[in-house]
Amino acid sequence: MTKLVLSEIAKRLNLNAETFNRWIKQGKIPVTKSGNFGIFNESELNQWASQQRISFRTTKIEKDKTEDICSALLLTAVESGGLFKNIKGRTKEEVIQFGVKCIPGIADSLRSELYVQIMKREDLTSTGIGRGVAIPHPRTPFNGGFPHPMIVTCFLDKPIDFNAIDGKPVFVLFIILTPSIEVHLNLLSKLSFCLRDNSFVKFLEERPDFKSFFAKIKTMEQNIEERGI
Amino acid sequence: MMKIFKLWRYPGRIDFYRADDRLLLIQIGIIVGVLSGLASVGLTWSLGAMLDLLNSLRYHWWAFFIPAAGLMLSSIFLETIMNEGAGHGVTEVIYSVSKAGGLIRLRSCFTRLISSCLTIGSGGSAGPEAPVVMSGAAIGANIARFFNLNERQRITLVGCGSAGAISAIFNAPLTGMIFAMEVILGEWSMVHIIPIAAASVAGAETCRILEGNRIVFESSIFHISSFDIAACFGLAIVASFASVMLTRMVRGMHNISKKTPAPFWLRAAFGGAAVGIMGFVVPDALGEGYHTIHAIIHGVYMEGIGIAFIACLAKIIATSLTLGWGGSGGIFAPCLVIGSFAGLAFQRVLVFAFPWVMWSGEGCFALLGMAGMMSGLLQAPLTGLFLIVEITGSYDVMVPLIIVSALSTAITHYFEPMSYYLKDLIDTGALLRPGTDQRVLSDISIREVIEKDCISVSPDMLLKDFISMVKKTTRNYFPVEDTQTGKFLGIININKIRPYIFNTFLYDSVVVEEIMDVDPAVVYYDDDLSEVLYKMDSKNYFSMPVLSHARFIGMVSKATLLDKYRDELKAQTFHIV
Repeated sequence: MTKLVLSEIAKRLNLNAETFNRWIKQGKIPVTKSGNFGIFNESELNQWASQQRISFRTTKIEKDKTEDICSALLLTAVESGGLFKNIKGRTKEEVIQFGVKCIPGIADSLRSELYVQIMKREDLTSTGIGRGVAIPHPRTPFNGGFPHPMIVTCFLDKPIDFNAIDGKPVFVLFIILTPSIEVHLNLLSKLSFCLRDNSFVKFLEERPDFKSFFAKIKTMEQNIEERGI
Repeated sequence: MMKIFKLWRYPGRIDFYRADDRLLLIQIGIIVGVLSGLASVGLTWSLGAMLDLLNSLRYHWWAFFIPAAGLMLSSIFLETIMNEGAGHGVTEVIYSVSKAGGLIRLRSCFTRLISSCLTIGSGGSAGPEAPVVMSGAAIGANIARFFNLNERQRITLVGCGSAGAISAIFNAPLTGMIFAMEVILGEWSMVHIIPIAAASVAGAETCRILEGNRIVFESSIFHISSFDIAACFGLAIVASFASVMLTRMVRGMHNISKKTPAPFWLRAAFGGAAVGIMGFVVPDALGEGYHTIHAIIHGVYMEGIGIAFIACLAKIIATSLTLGWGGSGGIFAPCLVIGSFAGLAFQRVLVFAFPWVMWSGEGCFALLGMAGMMSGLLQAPLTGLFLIVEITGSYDVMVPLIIVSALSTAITHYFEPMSYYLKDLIDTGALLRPGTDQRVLSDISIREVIEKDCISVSPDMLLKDFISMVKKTTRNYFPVEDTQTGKFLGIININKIRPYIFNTFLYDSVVVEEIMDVDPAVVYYDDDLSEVLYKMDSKNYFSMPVLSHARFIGMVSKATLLDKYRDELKAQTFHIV
C-alpha cells in the first residue's frame, strides 16, 4: 500500500489533476482518497494503468534530453570532431576519403561504410553550400546515430571543385556526424549562421589553428544564443 | 479505538475489499435489499389498514370526498412539509443515477411511502410500486453515503434498493433484478448484476418471512393453441394502443392541471374528487386494483364486453386524474389493471367474433394484456415479461408473452418513442446512460481539457519580434491581450498568417494588431463540452480560445479533447467488462 500526495500521483499517471480527482470520486480508478493523499496498491494501479492507455511511472518523469544539449552544441561538436589540415586529394572522392580517415574515435571497419553513406548523400546533391565550404554528412543518422555530435573540420591542401551551389572551389570540409536529425538540424542552422558572416569566412580562409578556431566558434555561438536564431 | 471506528465507516479502505469491491457491495446490497423489503412490507400493511379503516365509509354519498382529502393531504405532505415534488419517484431515481452520481435525499426513504399510502389508501388510482422503488433507492443511496462509497458503488446500491423493492412488493426476485438493470441503471454489467441479484433475493426473502411465500396472482394452467398465438398480434396492438393512451392522458391531465389557476392542494383535491365520483360508477377504477386482477385471472369477472371496455377506459381516466392532478403513486399497478381489462375485453371480442374456436381462458389473455401494457409503457420488454411469469408462477404462456411484449414495445415506441419514466429526463437532456457519447462528454469539464501553456502577445508587437518569438515555441495560436487591462482582443493563427511571415519586407512595418483575428469564435469557461464540440463541428474549427469574463484562459483543441474522451470512455467502461 503506497501513500502519496494526490497531485504527485496525477503527475505520474500523466493525468490532469481535475480528471484524477473526479475519477477517484466516481470510483473509476483504484485509488482512495484520504485528505490530501491518495492511497493505492502499486501493482493494482499498474495493472489498471496498463489496461488504460496511460502509462504509470513509479519514478519521476525525466526531462527530454535534446533540449539540454542544444546550448553550446556547436562548440562541443567542433571540439570532439577536431581540426585537420593538409587534406590531400584532387577530387571530391579523394578528399572525402581522406577526411573520413581523420575522424577520431571510430572503428576502422565503420569508416568504409561511413564513406559510402556520405557519398550517397553527395550523389543526391552536393553539400557544397557555397563560399568554399562543404558539409559532407551521411544520409540518415549513420548506424543508428553517433553517440556524440561531431564536426570534423578539414582544411584542404588545394581548393577543389565540389559542384557547390555557387560554383566556387571548396577549401574546407565540415563533416557532420550526429546522433539524431534534430541535433543535425540544430548544428546545421548554427553553422550556416556563422558562415553567413563574411569575417568568419575570411577567418577560415586563413586556415587558423585549432586554438584560435575554437575560440572563434565559442564567441560566435555565444553570439547566436544571445540573439537567438 | 477511534481508528477502528473510522475504518468501519470507510469499508472501502479495508485491504480485503480494495482489490475487488464486489464482495463489499454484495454484503451492503443484502442490507439494502432487506431494508427496502421492509419498506415494501410496511407500505403493503399500512395500505391494507387504510383500506379496512375506510371501507365502511365507502357507501356514503360523500365518499368521493375521501380520495379528495387523501390526495390533498398527500400533496400538502409532499410539497409543503417535505418539500419534494409530486410524482412517482422513478424519474427522480433515474435522474440521480444519471446526473447526481446516485445521490438521493435521506427523507426520500419515507416521504413517498406516506404520500402514496394517503393517495392509494383513500382510493386514488395509482400503484404502490414506484414509491417503494424510490424509498428503496434512497435507502441504498444513503447507506452508500454512510459508508463513504464512491459514485460507482453508490449507483450499484441505488440499483440494489430498487431491485429489492420491486422483488419484495411482487415477491418476484428476478423481475426486481431486471427492472433495476433495464429501467433504473440502463446498463448490463457484471459488477452490477451480482450485488443487485443479492439485494433482490434479500428483498424477496424478507417479504416471504413476513408475509408468507405467496404467488401474487395464482393462475391455473393455460393451454395455448396456435389460434391464441395468432391472436397475440391483435392483443399487442390493443395493449400498445392502451399504453399510448394512458401516457398521453397522464401528460395531458398534468398540463391542464398546471394551467389551472388554483393552489396545488386544491387541484389535488379536485382530482381526487373526480376520481371519487368515477368510483361510484366504476368501483374497479379505485385504488391499486389488485383484487380486480385476481378476479379477472381466476375467470370470475362476470361483466360483459361493454363493461370490461368501459372499466378499461375508466381506469385510464382515473389514473391520469390521480397522477396528473397531484396524487402520489406509481403507474405499475394501474398499468396491470388496464392491461388485464384490455386483455379481457379483447378475449370477449374474440369469443364473440369466432365462437367456433377453442380460445384460451380470459385469465390468459388478461396476463398477456398486462405484459403488453407494461412493456409498452415502460419501454422495457424484459421487465414486463418476467413480471408476468413470476407473479403468476406460470411458464406455459411464455411464447405468447414474448410475442406480446416485444410487439407492444415496438408499436408503442413508434407513437411514444420515450418511455413514461424517461420522457421528462430526455426533454431536459438529463438522461445520460452509461457508455454513451453524452455521458462521456458530460463527465469531462472544460477545466480538464484546457491547455494553459499559451503565450500571449501585446497588440503593438512588431511582426519581426513576433516571429522571433514564434520560432521558440511549438504552438500555433497566440492570444492577443490588452497590455493594460488584460482583456482578450483577438487571436493569431499561424496558419492564417503564413503568407506574411516569410516576407521580410513586412517585418518592421506590420504590428500584431493588424494580423490578428479580431472576432474569433470562442467558448466560455463553464460551457458544456458537448456545446464546445458542437461549435467546433459546425464551423470546422480544430482549436478554440476559452474565455472567462472577457479574459483569455487557455485553448481547447479537438485533438486534446479526443484524447481525454478516449481516456474517459476507457475508464468508464473498464468495470463493465
